[in-house]
Amino acid sequence: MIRRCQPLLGTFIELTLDGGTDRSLHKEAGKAFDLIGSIQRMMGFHDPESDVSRLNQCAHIAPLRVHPWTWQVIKKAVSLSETTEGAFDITIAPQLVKWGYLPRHPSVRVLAEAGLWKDIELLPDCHVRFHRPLQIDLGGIAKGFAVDKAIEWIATLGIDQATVNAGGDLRVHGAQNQALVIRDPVEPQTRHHPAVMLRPAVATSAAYFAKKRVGLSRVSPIVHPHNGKPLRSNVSVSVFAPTCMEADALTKAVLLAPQPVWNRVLREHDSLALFLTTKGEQILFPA
Amino acid sequence: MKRRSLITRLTAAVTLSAASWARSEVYLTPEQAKDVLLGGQAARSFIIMLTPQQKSAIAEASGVRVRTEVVKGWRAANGSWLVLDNVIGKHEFIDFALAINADGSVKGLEILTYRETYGGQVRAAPWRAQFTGKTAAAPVKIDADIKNISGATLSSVHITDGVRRLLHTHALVLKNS
Repeated sequence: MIRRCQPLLGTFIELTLDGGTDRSLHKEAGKAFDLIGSIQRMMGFHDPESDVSRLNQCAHIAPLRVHPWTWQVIKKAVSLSETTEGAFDITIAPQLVKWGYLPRHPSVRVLAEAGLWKDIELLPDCHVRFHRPLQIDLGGIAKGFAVDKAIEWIATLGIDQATVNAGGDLRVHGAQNQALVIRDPVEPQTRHHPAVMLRPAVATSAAYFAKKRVGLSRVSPIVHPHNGKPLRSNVSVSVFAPTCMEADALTKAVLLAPQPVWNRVLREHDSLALFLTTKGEQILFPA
Repeated sequence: MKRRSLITRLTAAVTLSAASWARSEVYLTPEQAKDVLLGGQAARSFIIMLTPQQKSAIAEASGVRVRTEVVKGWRAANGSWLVLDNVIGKHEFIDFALAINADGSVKGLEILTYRETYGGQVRAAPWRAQFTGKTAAAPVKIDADIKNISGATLSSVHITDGVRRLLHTHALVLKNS
């Protein structure tokens, strides 16, 4: 068994591979990291050359062709925006730029009048058009997508067991019902709650690592698309889903959408949500 | 809302107990990192002590403070370097290995050891001492078999600073040595 870790997608990607000689596993791990690196180059907000940055610069002027994977992730994001009635929205990037979570690119000057997910149009042949100037950020979904792609590729290699963990968004291949721990929202470094992988993938969202002060107010990068307000509570939500992309995106929907909406969306995606509150309570939906 | 009533209705999958622990994860030894990053080619180890002038030149060029004057690792036959280094982040101490091509570009990066601690309070010895007794009294060893941790995403931004510092170290010192 080998374990490797590289900083990619703005976080630490941890690979665990089991079943084979260490030498061959190291080689495959290197390729899996390369795969995730290529997704970072397509979908990174920080990279001015990425598909996402090119779209943000000019997709409101003319339709732009992107990599099929980028197109696929945007399509999934837009369909989740639809089903969650806008609670999950990849167009909140301007607010994140304003608060300093994302870099401001000199070529983009349209922070104030940016639109909503409804202004994204997906055209055939991997083309994307924005009906208004927009800034999209795939930070709430691309990590999950990258984990899925890595796991799906590893699964083709005949490796017995594998885990890809992108800073807390993880998916396992091989064993069912594996054990895991979830960080306590009050003491995330020191306290962890034992749990079981109820689906192959899990992702957790909470504001505890990313809160900061902007002027007089405290903000976090989890933003309500309807009113632009940050999530400030320390509740933690873990979503267990068949794929890591669903798990990653649905955590935001569960944190931000009204309960009847996310209850329905969880059912549609065969997923479960586990809340950890600051008082140490654990609540699983649907119960 | 039925939320309150659901609190007690936990599935068997989730237990109520929470364990206290600090995380320390070893991914690769320096030798393994050398094999992975330099592809098994011949390399000899080096240790370079930076002069105060070099330290401040690197800090100025990279915009990152240089904490130590020691630069160490391996130099491969083809002119590429493997530098062993560490960064102190907001919540974590990280050892990593950076491979730099002869032309100064990044060849690869591997995290060697990742330690998560108690944030800013870790250096206060009396504060830390209160935990030593507790761990002995309540030996909850879940880190031995549970390797998967889910939580809010940790940022890897400190690594980026460390890489920039080392690339400037290469340009200003290693390349000319």
